[in-house]
Order: sequence, then structure tokens, then C-alpha cells
Amino acid sequence: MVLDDEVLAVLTAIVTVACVVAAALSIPRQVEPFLAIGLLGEKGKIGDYPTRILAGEPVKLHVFVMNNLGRAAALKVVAKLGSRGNIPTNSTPLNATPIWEYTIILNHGQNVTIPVQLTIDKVGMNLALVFELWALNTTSGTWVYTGRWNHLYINVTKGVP
Amino acid sequence: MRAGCGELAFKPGREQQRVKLTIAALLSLMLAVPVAFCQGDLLEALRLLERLSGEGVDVSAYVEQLNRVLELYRVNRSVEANALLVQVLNQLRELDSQLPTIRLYRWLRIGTSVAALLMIPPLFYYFFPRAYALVWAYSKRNWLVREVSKRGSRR
Repeated sequence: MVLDDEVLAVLTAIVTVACVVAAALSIPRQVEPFLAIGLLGEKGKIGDYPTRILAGEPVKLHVFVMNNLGRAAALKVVAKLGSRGNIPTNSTPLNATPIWEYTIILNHGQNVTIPVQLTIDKVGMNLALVFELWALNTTSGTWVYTGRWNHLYINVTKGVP
Repeated sequence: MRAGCGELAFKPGREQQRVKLTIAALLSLMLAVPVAFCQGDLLEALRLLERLSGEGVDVSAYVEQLNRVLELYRVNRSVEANALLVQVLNQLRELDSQLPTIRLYRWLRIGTSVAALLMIPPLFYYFFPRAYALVWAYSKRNWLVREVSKRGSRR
């Protein structure tokens, strides 16, 4: 089979497109920066969240955290206790005392599933177990609320003595 | 923690109390200074880590080591944590001092790979027909060329 000019032109066009795409992909681009936090059940999966718990009994959950800021970052997950209607917003954290904290350093694109075991002593209905994600501002050395949070509504009842 | 002061001869009364207070103050300083020092070190390590990773340097080993430092602080093994932190910080400082060179090599690598990729189409256009012809000729090397008459009958 003889390679004529038309076949060569088509092959060259295919090679050109492939090479231009590969070259464009090899140039580093600014990624869309984001942080993510997710609440997982006791088995580390979505679902099977506790809804009724006994005061003083340990609650087992998992928190998933992902860093896609384009750089490594020190992140802190803070658990707080709120109530229905009293949860954080995208700009303000919940005004409550932390009941649990976990600090981790994540590289860009890295994620981690953190096992959580905490005890709630406050008895009440429709309490919100809130997990907020904070990031360290290394310039000022302060923790900054990222606007990312998860919450789980629980009913905490008194344990049987 | 051992202060390493040796034996002290206490004088009775106020002076004894003053000595006690001085020792207490010194001990609190000895305890407080490493904590403050290490917090500053940790912050500096994180700042360097952030900058280096932002420049595309692979810092996964340092991330792992700093997480180990945090874990050691969490279980109150601060002596080990401080030692590891100082080690990581020194490595990060060294890497940071090499950052301009790393950046240059990175851009050179990217530029070279892009140039190499963009050189492929013209090279393909020039060399592929020739290579194809060579392969075609090689595959037909055992063929025998015979002259045929204009009418198509063999001689």
C-alpha cells in the first residue's frame, strides 16, 4: 500500500491535535481551590448515623476531610453542640464551646477519614452535633473558619442508671 | 524534668522562700520556653510547607512527618515531637533555600516537554513517509523485479 498525500495529511492532523492537547495538559494550571468535609457513620460510610444516644455514652462517627487548595494546609475539625436553628452558616461558625478537636496536615489532593469518638453529657431533643472545618492562616498564625461544616441532629436521653 | 542545679543550702526564713520561688520560676520558664519555641517552629514549618507545595514541590514526606509530630504532641511525647520537628524544619529550610533553583528546573522541564510535544507533528510529517517507504521496501526485499512487455505478456 502506498502512502499518498491525503492519508499523510489526515495522519499528521491527528498527530498534531494529540500533541497540542498533550502539551496543553502538561502546562500547570491554577486549580479550583476547595476544601471538603463530610460526615460518615460508625463504619466509615454514608448512612447509619446515630439519632438517639445516651448521655455519657461514647458516640462513634467518622469525619472525611479533603484538601484541594493547590497547596498543603493545616486543617482542624472542631465538634460543637448546637440545636435546631442554631447551626453555623457559610460565614460564621457556631458560637459554642468545642467538645472535640482534631488537627491534621493535608497535602494538595489528599484526603483523610478521621475516626471520632466523643461523649455528650447534655440531655436534649433535636440537638445538633456540628463539625466545623477550620484552616490555619500561616501568615497570622490563627485558625480561620472555612465556611464548611456538617451537622447531625440527635436526641440525647438520660442513660439507665 | 531535672534542673541539674546540684545541692542547695537553704537559709531559714524569708531567704529560703525566695530561693524556692526562684527555682519555681526557673522551672516554669524551662517548661514554657520549649513549648513557645516549638509552636513558632511548627508555624514556620507549616508556612514553608505551604509555600513549597504551592510551588509544586513534592512535600508528601514532610506532611507525613509533621502529622507524626502532631500525633506525638497529642500523646504528650513532646520531647520526641520537638526533636522530629527541628529535623523536619531544617530539611524544609534547606529545601526553601533551593527554591529558586527548583523553580527554574521545574519550568525548564515543563518547557522542554512542551517543546518536545510540539516538535512531534513536523517531525512526523517529514520522517513518517520516509520511514514508511523504507519499511515498505524492506518488506518487499525478496520480490523480483521483472520487465514486462507493453502488451502484458512475459518474456
